[in-house]
Amino acid sequence: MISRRKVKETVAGYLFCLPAILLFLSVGLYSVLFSVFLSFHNWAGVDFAGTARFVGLDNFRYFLFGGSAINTRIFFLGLFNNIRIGFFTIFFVIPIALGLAFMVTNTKRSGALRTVYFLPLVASGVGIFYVWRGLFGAFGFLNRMFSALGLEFLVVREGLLGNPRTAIIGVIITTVWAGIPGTMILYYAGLASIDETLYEAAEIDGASKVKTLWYITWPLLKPITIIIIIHELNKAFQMFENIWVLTGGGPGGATDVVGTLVFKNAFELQRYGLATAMGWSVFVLTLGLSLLSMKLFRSETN
Amino acid sequence: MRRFFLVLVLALFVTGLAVSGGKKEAATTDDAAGLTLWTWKIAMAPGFEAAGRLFEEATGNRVTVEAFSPDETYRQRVIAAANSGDLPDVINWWAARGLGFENTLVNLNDRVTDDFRARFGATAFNNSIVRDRDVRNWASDPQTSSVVLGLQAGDIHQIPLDVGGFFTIYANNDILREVGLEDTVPESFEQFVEFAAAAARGTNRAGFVFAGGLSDVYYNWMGRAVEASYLGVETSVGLINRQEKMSDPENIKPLLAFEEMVKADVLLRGSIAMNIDEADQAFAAGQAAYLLGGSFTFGQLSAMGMDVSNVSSFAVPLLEGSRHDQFLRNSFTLTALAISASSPNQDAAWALVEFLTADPVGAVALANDAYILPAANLGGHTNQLIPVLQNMYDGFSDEPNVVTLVDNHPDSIGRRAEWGELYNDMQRIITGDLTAREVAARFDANAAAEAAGGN
Repeated sequence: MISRRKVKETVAGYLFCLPAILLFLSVGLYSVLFSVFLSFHNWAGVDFAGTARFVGLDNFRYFLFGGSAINTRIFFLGLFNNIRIGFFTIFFVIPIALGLAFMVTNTKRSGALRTVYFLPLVASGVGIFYVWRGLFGAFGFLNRMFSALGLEFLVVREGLLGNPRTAIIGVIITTVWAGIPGTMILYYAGLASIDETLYEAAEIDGASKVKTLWYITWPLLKPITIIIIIHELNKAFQMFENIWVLTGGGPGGATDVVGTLVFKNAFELQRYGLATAMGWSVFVLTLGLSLLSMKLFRSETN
Repeated sequence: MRRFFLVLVLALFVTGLAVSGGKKEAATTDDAAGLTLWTWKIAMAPGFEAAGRLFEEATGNRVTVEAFSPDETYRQRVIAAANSGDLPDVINWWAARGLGFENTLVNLNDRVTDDFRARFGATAFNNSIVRDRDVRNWASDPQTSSVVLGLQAGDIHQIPLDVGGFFTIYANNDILREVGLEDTVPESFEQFVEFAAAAARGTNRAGFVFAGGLSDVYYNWMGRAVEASYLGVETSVGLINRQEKMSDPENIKPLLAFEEMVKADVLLRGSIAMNIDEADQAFAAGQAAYLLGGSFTFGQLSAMGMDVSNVSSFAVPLLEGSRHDQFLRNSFTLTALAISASSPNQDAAWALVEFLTADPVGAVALANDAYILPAANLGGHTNQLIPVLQNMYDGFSDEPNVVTLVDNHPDSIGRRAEWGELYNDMQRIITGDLTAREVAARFDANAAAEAAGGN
């Protein structure tokens, strides 16, 4: 039989949670459900009950299945940009962050190094991306540096961000730069949590540094790596801020991602239903990738 | 004691909820109403305040001006306020038809009488009054919102506030003097490119700069005038209506001219990534001989610290062989004022709108401190404008130019998605990734595909 005291404690526990639950239901869950509902409507942003028009799957057809040939092409180009930004970010961020985490773990000046490497994490994104924009300009630091070093073939006349073929490189560079500190923190924590006795046992068995790294450190960091991959993929598909500041999606739409297309449709063209439908399409894709990664993660840990 | 505090806290909580959740009490009278006006034009705020003080002296109604920047923030603030019923009494907004939130604004059809309209320039209301063709075109676009679909021909929700015009080239005579071209207005587009190239060769500067980072700036500020003047009204409307091909040997010439300009290497390096302010700054800093701008650019250059005494301006030059050999600069309404349907002081708000837009006293006070050109017909009050505004005001022609004729053509279906792609593709001409012929072919294919999709 459950004691009266136990019941009171349970009720009290739920009561303490109630404000947070109510907040989540009223703000979090409501907005999510509303946006799903909205994606099946045509709505200009004001007075939903009075002005929204149910359009079924037309919004999805418009940009996914050629309802508007131009918008379909633009959407898939944007999605392709999301994917390649995600791929290259993961490709570069993981080894760089892992290397830096090793450095920070195995150096006496780890405090100073940590401060330097974590700076991108605490600096204001918009402000910093404006600085990057200047560095990448036609007369910016990058072009001047290449010229000074005699590497004229690397100079992009209109600036890295002013050429449709190179603008995405600028975006990827800033994304990698912004992604390193957070990833490094995770690896740093992962490295710190590895039991020292494992290394001692390996040393006694005569394992080389490389073998220790390959057979002890890396397997134990794999779960963290999968979390990082999921995290970076999510970030890549939700990308907006740096692209908006750096290029606004240009030149010629070369750096548009789904995030910038959602913004343009919602806040410039007042097509909230269409914009939400775009957002949910990407969510489904991200969810699928995350589930796949989680499955991999489970099989690895098992 | 503990119970007392509990009751006290609860009472405060309930009171707080009641206060924050309560609806604003609607005023029953407009006498000495406090009016609030929102704008996103930070530079115009001093003008609104100056005119607001005059309005308060005349009516006793105090005007509070609140400015929000940048544009995106302002758009969202207004849309959010429209949803929550918290719009200010008067809203400054881009002059346009089909805003999408007209259901939260006062319909001004009854207020805008013929006599009232006569107090404005001839074309001032062109952007504010819904036309038959707008209703028809909105009905054919699947993405049109219900609010806009509910509008009828003749509906007016905004009163024109200020006017301006694009299609203006600014020349830096200090630079052009070095190549003997100061105060020389090119007679054609081709000659303009020659002059710009000469300036680029003969000085250590670029020939021409514009905000290439915004894909539609060249076309909307210059290209439309070149194209419409060369092709004429009917062909230009045919391109909009998908009856003409951009790749037609004649129709492609304005695009080829643009490509030739790019190939002449007259553009300032990096202009492809520049926004409007950055292009103006580059010109103000003496980095280019010519700048593409509008009537509003002059004040901007002056504010940037440029010595504007050596800057001259002229209308965009036209291609040789153009059907219209002269381009008149028309003004069109840039921004307008609307009244919130939830305002408890609608009569006072209308009085303020009338004072700021139609009354020469208010319009001049606003213009001189905000550096804008009033949409109102100032009549004998024109000489009260500061000289630079007065010159610009006098520089506009009342006779409609070819672009105005195209824009107001009764059969036009309005520019659809293929035009946005055209602007993007024109950026790729600048970067050398596409040729003019490729861009024209893509435009035709896009237009056909959109038409096939029912858009």
